Amino acid sequence: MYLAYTLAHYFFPRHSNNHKAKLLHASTLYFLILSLVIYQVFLQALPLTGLKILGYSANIPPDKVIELTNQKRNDAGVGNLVYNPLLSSAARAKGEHMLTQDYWAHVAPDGTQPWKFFTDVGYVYRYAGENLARDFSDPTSTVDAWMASPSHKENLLSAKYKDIGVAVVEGDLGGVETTLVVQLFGSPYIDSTPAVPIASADIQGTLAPTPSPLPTETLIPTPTLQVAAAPSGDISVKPKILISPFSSTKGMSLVTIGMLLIVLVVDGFVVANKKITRIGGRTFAHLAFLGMILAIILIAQAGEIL
Amino acid sequence: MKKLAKHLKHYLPLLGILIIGGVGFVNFSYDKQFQAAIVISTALSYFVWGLIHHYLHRDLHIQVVLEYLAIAILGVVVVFSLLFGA
Repeated sequence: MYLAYTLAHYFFPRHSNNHKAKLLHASTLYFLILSLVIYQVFLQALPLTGLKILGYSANIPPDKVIELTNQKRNDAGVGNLVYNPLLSSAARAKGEHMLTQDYWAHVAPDGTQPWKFFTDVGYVYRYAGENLARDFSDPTSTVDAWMASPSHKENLLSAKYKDIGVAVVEGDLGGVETTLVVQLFGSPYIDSTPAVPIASADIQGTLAPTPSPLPTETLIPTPTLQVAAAPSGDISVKPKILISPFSSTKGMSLVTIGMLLIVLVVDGFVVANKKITRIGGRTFAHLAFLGMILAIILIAQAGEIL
Repeated sequence: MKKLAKHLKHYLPLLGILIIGGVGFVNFSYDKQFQAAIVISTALSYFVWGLIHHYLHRDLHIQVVLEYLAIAILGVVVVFSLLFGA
């Protein structure tokens, strides 16, 4: 009986809630806001406790990323990139460097530049570029995200690049189990023409290269791709992932906004039917705004590019 | 329905604001900072729309202001959690 009363009080307009579902009262809405903020603080603080229960599960084969990249290039009428194991090694080194140094950027906090990884593996380049992605669950959404960004797309479709290397590295980044995708592009320095920087503008995702001093022909062996193994220490241990921070946030948001939309519809219907006059916002306006928020929640995907 | 038709000239600009906000959010999926700016602008526009609408209808009360503000903040918090959450 008490439960029925409480439910009616929160979900239906009646005398006990001044003819407006309690869930739609400003005080309840502020309580919901506070709860969502506290949940985010909890998720952010969880890694500090040492509990390894947050993470993103992903299945991103590097060869699929290369295949999709070449598909996009074919669609754009640009020639295929050739898999280069040196670039893949460089990509793996970059990914592992991000995990061990705990950063998410093209340039490491210690100042290590991205093209250091090219030269470290012996890839003498004329042009070089780097695309990064994290927390995506599959190769298609990863490549699509790069294609949606003008600067990353420019890297992906640049005719100046001949070679490609991709590494998928898994490990702990900022206390959360993460999957990083490192995509490196290059053109070997094989002639005596003076090197030309590929990008004069400082744009996201494209790196202005430093020409290597010695022209060297790059060996292109048969492709054999592997997901990079984490180098050492705790990043080589893949803990059991219990909670995906993004999925749980998305679920919580869906429940909150979905519940409010349902209550708004019911509330609006009852008030219109009973011709109740009350002070309050317009139901249609709230429905329209929260409907847009619901659409954003539904299309939101995990993953970030750099 | 009669009430909806009565407020149509007010609702059309609101729908325009929300559609532009939604389309902008999708189009700039590669730029989280810009997406955040779009969501804040849309929520602010929605809040201001509420104030103007109720002011013109002479029923602007503090409860109404707080209600629009709460829903606008809720929308921003939800989207920010997805954009910048853990």
